[in-house]
This record gives sequence, structure tokens and C-alpha cells, in this order.
Amino acid sequence: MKAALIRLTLERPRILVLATVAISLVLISGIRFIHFEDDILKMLPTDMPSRVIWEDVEEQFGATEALLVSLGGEGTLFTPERLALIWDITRTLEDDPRVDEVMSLATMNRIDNVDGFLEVGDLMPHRDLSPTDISGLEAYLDANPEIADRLVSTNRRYAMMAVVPHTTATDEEIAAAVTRAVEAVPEGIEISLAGMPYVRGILSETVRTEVFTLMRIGLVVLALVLLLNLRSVAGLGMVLMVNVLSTASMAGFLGWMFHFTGSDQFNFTILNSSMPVILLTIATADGVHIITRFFREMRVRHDVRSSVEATMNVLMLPVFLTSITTIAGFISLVTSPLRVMTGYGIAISFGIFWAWVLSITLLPSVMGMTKWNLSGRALSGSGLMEGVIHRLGQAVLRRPRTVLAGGLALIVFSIIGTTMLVVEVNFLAFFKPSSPIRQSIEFVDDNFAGTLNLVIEVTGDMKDPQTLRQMETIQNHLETQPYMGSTVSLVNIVRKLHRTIMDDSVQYEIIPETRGQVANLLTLYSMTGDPDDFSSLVDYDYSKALISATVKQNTTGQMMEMVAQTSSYLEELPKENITVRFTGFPVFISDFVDVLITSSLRSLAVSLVLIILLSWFFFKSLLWGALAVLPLGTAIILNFGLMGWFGLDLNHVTALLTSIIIGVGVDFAVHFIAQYRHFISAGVPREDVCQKTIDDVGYPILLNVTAVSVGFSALLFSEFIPMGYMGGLVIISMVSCALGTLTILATVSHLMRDKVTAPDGA
Amino acid sequence: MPRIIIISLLSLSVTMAQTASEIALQIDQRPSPVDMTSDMTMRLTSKTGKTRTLSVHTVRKGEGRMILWFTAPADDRGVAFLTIERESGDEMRMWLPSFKKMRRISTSRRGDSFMGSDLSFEDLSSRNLDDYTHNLLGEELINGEEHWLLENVPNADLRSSYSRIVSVVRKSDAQISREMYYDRAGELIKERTVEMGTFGAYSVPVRMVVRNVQKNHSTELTFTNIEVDTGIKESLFHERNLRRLP
Repeated sequence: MKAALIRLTLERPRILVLATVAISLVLISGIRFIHFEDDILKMLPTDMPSRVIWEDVEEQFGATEALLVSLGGEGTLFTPERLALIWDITRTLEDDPRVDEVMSLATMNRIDNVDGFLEVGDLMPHRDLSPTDISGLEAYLDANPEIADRLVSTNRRYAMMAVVPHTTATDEEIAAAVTRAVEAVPEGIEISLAGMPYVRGILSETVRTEVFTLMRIGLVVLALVLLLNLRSVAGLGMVLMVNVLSTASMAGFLGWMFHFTGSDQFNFTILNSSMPVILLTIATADGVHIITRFFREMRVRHDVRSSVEATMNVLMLPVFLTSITTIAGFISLVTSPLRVMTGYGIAISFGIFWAWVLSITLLPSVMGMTKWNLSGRALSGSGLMEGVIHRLGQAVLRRPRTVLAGGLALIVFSIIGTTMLVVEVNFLAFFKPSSPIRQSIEFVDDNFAGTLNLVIEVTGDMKDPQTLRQMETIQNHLETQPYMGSTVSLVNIVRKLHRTIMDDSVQYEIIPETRGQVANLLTLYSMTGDPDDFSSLVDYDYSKALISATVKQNTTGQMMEMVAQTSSYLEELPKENITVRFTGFPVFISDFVDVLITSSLRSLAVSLVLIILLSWFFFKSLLWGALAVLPLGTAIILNFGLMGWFGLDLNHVTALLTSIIIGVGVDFAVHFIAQYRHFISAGVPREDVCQKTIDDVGYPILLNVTAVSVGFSALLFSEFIPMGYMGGLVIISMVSCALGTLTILATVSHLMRDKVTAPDGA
Repeated sequence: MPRIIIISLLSLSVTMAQTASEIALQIDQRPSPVDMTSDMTMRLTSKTGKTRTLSVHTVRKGEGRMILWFTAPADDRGVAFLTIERESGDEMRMWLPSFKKMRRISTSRRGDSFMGSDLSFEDLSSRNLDDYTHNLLGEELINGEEHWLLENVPNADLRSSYSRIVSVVRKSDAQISREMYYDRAGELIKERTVEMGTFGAYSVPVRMVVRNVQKNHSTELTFTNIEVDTGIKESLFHERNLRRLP
């Protein structure tokens, strides 16, 4: 099989090139079907209670998320010009087909008792208000703080407009529509945007663009580093050809999968932004191994055909093994309860598979077809790194026990660091404090009641005063909690109506005594107001209602604490004929962290077991199987330990670091072990096997580490913090995997050389 | 205060070719009962298919006086609503039996929903011909009968919720069988279909369905026990008569 394939690459290279490039292009054409989605809710399992409740609530009560616009500036908001501006922007947004509803001073109702009349009217009856109208408006807001809290800032300098997107509008569309509507405000007016639809819309547009720009820069730098070391444009071109084709094919595969299945598992989320980084890293490793080995063979053989044959003869198995073990590492993600991770695992596994196919077909075919200049620098002598790696090998093997002890000390130090690891999955923490996006969100959060939403669904008879009183108790409790802004529910409307019909007497701003009275108030309102006015708070047959609470931005840890406290409060609350469920962004965050940690640990365990089993099977030795995971195991501990020590947050992007480490670590280890075994089989004396193995695989490993690390250091400059961390951690991962292989794996296999070279070990 | 009466649905023979304004005038001039009593059942259906039904006994006189007594559901039984149109301003009163209180109520917005239905006060008000520009959009054969398509575009100072209303008018009797309402953005928002019954010399609605196509919500009104020109006295339209069901 191996011989047949090698013969095919040498005898029918053009057919192989055409076939692999054509299939790649078909795969790449699927890119147009990629579906971007950054809703954290869609990442949660479909049966997770917080998601089930949220979807129920949205179906019953409509969208509960809004894009928030703060408008104002120096001086009071209550001037005719500023109020007219709010009116104009509101009308512009209302006319936009992507907008379902705008809640602002220009759209909200007021309920008044005017000369004995109950009047439901507009808070702003028209665009141009007189000074008397404005005084009346201010007085109404002063008297109704629960309305004022949601519409104006506490210092009365800024107004809030909550834009509810139409169900068919995407986050990008609504963010763009609102940005356009507010871009032409007069000088002196400050606009700040916030809310999850905005954050997601911005994430999709800005962050992704920035990340991909930085990645392009990274790829150029990676190419330069490779070129400097390989000293061959053709060689570089071949490595990049495999990289780019496999990465683009993987992206296209994701698009095709979404196109054919329509499953949200194949959405392109913020997590998937790391896919190209991972695949480029892994694909570069195999490409570099093959091309450097080919150059070495050429230096000895001076013949293209026999050099290709020799290279592929030695590397076919390790390249297959690195690919299959890395696929095993990623395919374990299908066990993740996070839906998007299953698609991620499948797509990246496919990408690795395709990179392997290209590495053993396209790459040797092109190598065989190329007219190489034997006197060129790449083929005439070894490079700088090859000397460095030889000296490193000598140093390691001179004092293997000291090196091993040093490595173990570092691992102990890292284990202590892992206990300091902080999980942070709130989107706000993904932006640097200096980022305009983060500043805008924090501004809205500081000046208004909060930008996040917590929703409590109460089921019961909503016309029963006892039900309403229980809801009132819950609201009163919530409002005393830290980070909680204001709450609103049907209770507020009933109390207000009660007060209004009782001649606006404050003592009647309470829930009425009887069911009939509650029913009368609601009927009274329906005679004059639009029933849609509170359709977002109570369902059609008054059997379910929502308590909607605003929550201020805070850390994931604080949100989890708040959710846990709210949960136990609601559980312990004595309930009479009602049931209560709650959901909202803080609950998603809390659930997401649990799922993220469970998912990461589960896929890590599955990956390690699969890799051990595969290595055991192919190397026919359990000891080698265990040693294959040694470098990556130590690298994982080292990375998470360093993250803990340096205060780098674990989030759903950086959690994928384990995948990179597995991918890279197993690659290095398998190449090391395969070569070690090759030398044993070739009869190299035991004492020299390790040094020769380091000399042989150390160079491509070091070149790979240098090129990928320098290349992806571009990500360190990302405004998007997880991507910056990703850049830094890719470097740490690469270095720690290389060190794990060339020091720990090397010293352990050297110290255990009698065991690993025994018949059952070899 | 809008005049709460549906007057645009009575018949008049029209056989010769006419201009849009002439058609609108003929619709406006059809005879209507001096007074009318009926039992109305209003069935509201939400986008999720949930329904809410309420029943009222209605009495009206002329174009400006009406009383509604709620008879069902049980929660609302006894609630009553009186509206009187006066030169000095419209008056609406409501009796809330659970509070034993009479309350005057008001709305400043023509587009507000009437009793939580898909009908707004504007929909229920008679159309003053001068407030609209009329255009004849064409003719259509529906179920073998010839119809005009009449467009009514509200004048800017009317503060209408609509950009235009298209009426499907039967040529034989100038009766409106269907209307399409377009919001200010020019999108179709509501469709209203009407079934008429003959009572004495008048054609009055016996069933009406209004569907808000944007909210996917609908309202069905069914009128039974209709009696016309029974000589209802002016004195009935007084708040003291709201306190007890007839």
C-alpha cells in the first residue's frame, strides 16, 4: 500500500496534483455557506434548562434582548433639541424593517389621572415639546422611578433607547442599522451602544475581521521564518500549499456541513476563529518534517526520485500516526455537551485528515516534479538550527537526571498555578479596557440600570392578588441584591393603574385586594391602551408572567454567585399556587462555565486514552503508548499552570488550548518515537539512539516551533483579549511541547533505554 | 374622539362609471339605522393560537352614542363602557363593579387598540371625506361580481396610523366587502373582511374579521340579536345606567 502510493506519486504526479487540487477547490467552494453565529445560547445543549426556559419565554413573550443606545452629553437631557433628536432617531429606527420595536422616551406610554380622567397617552406626544411639556415629562419621570430608571440616566443627562430586533434580523444587521441611525448626531452629543445583540454584531464584524487580518500577517511572518531556515522558495511554497489548501478546505467543509445538515453544530462561532490557527500549526509540522527530511536525503543522494522515495518511506507511518492521533484528540470533542464543539471537532478532524492526504499525495508529487538546484543552499549544507539542536541533545543527554528533575520541578510549580486559574467567559472581558466597544458598554452599564437581563417566569393565576404579591416579594428581594438594577413586571402596571383610578393617591399604589379588582384594572387599560404594551410581561391568558430584571456587568465568578443565590432564594421561597423558573444571560454564563469545564475535562480524558490506545496499537508497546502522551501531558499542565500564575483567564477560546497542545504534542512525540524505533531497527547502538533521534527530528521540531511561534505572535496585538491570549499561548504550547519532547521524553526514553529497546518495547 | 360607528358598509346601487370621489361619496351617504342593539362576541386569537373571548351587549344611537355591557368572561361581567361624542370633546366613562367606581377615561391616540382587539379607534371612526384623497386603482371580478378598488390616502394633518387604505367596493351596491390597511412604512398591516346582513332597510355587519398580518393576531366579531330603530331614548346614555346589566 505504502509502496504503491509512493510509486503513484512518482509515476503519475500530474494526475495526483490535479485530483487533489480539484477536490480541494470543491471543498473550498463551501466557504460561501459558512454561517456566522455568536449567540452564547446556541452553544448550550438544547436540553439545558436555562436554554429551554429562554426559548419558551421568547416564544411566549417575544424577544427579550435589546440593543441599547445611550444618547446625551453635557448638561440636561431635557431640552427641546435633545428630545427632538431622540424622537427623530426613534422614528428612523421604527421605520427600519430590521427593527421590531423601540422603547424610548418617544414611544413609551404614560398613565395619568387628569381632572378625574384616566388617560393613557404618550410620554412624548409630539416631536417638538414646549417648556411646559418638558416640565411635565420630567415631573412624570420623577414620580415614576421604575419607568425613569429604564429611560434616563440617574444624572438626567443621557437617554436610553432599547431597540428590539425583528426576529428575522441578524445581530450584524441590527448593529449596523443602529450604528447608521445614530452616526449623524450633532456635535456635543455622545452616543454609546451596548446590549448583547450589539456585542455579538460587533464580534462578528470587527473582531473576526481583525483576527483574520492578524492571521494573514502571521502567515506571512511564518513564511519568512520558514524561508530563512529552509533557504528554498520552492520548499516554502510546498509547505504553504499544503497549509493553505487544507485550512481553506476545512473552512469549506464546515460551510458544506452547515449547508447539508442545517445544524447549529456547524455554525462558525467565535470559538471557530481558532480553527485556522490550530490547523496551520499542525499542517506546518508535517510539511516541515517531510520537506526537511527530503532536503537531507537530497544532500546524500543527489537524486530527486530516490530522495522522495526514501523520505516517504521513513515518514509515511509517522505522518499517518500523527494525523490519526491528532484526529483522535479532536474527534473527542463530539462528546462535548457544547453543540458547537461537536461541529468544531468534526471540521478540524476533517482538516487534519485532508492535510494528511495532501502531505502524502500532493506534496511528494510536487517534490518529485520540481527541478531542484542541487547546488542551492538548501541542498548543499545544513542550516544553523541543525547545529543548535545537536548541541541541545548533547546537553540534555549529558545530565538526563538533572534535566528530568528540572522538568518535574517545573510541573509541580505549574500544578500550583492551575489552582489559581480563573474562568471568565463574559464577552465584555474579551475586550481590552481601552477598547471603545468595552468603554461604550461600561458607560451604559454605569449610567443606567444595567445591560444584562435576568428573567423570572412565574406561572399562576395572574389576576389573583396573592400571585401578584408573591411576584412583588421576589422583585423586592432582587432589587436588594448586588449588581441588580431595576425590576419590572405586571405588578408595576397593576399598582400604577390602581393608584391612578384611586385619584392618584400614593397609598393606593399597591396590589388591589380582590381578583375582580385586578381584572377590572386590566380591562380598563385594554379600553384605552394597546394590549401589546404589556404583552412582554404577561401571556395571553394571564397564566404566565415575567419579572424582568436588569443586571450590571460583572465577572463570571460574581455572576455565578448571583445565579446560585437567586436559585436558592427561589427554591426556598414559600410558594402558593405558583411555579417559578429563571433564566437570562447570567444563567447562561453560569451554565456555560459548568459545561465548558466538564466538556474540556471529558474531551481531554477521551483524547489521552485514544492516543495511548492508538500509539500502543501502532507501536505494539504500551510503554511507548504512555510515552507518546508524556510531552503533551506535561505541556498541558505547564500551560494551565502558567495561565494561573500570570492571571490569564480560561474562557471558551483559551480552553481550546488543550486541543492545540494535543495536536502539536502528539505530533512531536510520534515523530520522536517513530524515529527512535527506526534507529533501533537500523541497529544503532543504544547509547547513541537518543542523540541521533534528537538530531534527526529536533530540527523540524525547532523550525516548526520557531516559525509558528513567531508567526502567531501577531495575534498578541489583537484588541480581542482571548485571541491575544491565544497568540501567546500558542507560543507557550509550541515551546512546551518541543521541550517536553526533546527533554522529558528524550531523557525518559534515554534513562529507560534498556526497557524501550527490549523486543517487546521496540 | 372618534365616532364609534361603522358606517361605510351600507348599500347603494351604483351602475354607471364613476370617479373615485363619487364612489367615496356614495359609500358615505348610505343610510344607517337611527339606533341599534346587538350582542357582540369578540374572539381574539394570538399568534400562538391562544384565544380570548369576551361578550358584550351593545346599544348605540346615531353616530355618537354607545354603551357596552360586558357579559363574559366572568371576571369582566358587569364592567360597562359609555361613550358620548360632544362638540366640546368626546366623553368615555367606565363602570368598574369590583371597585364600585365610575371612571372617566380618555385616549389621545387614534391608533390605540379598541378593547385589546385588532381594531383601533381610528378603524371604528367614520371617515370624513375631506380628510382623504381618493384614487380608483382599478376594477376586479370577485365571485362573478364586479368590484372597484378604491384607495383612500389620509391627508397629512389627520395623524393617521396608516399611509393608505384600499377598499374593495362592490359595484352593485357600493358595499365594502374587504379593506387592506397599510402602515406608515407602506407595508400591509391589517386586512378586514365583512359579512353583511339585512335588517329592515339597512345592511349592517353581522360578522367581521380583522387580521393583523404583521403581528399575526386576529379578531373576529360576531353580532347576534340585532335590532334596529327600536326607539332607544337619549336618556339611556347616562352613567347611572352603566351600573346594572340590562
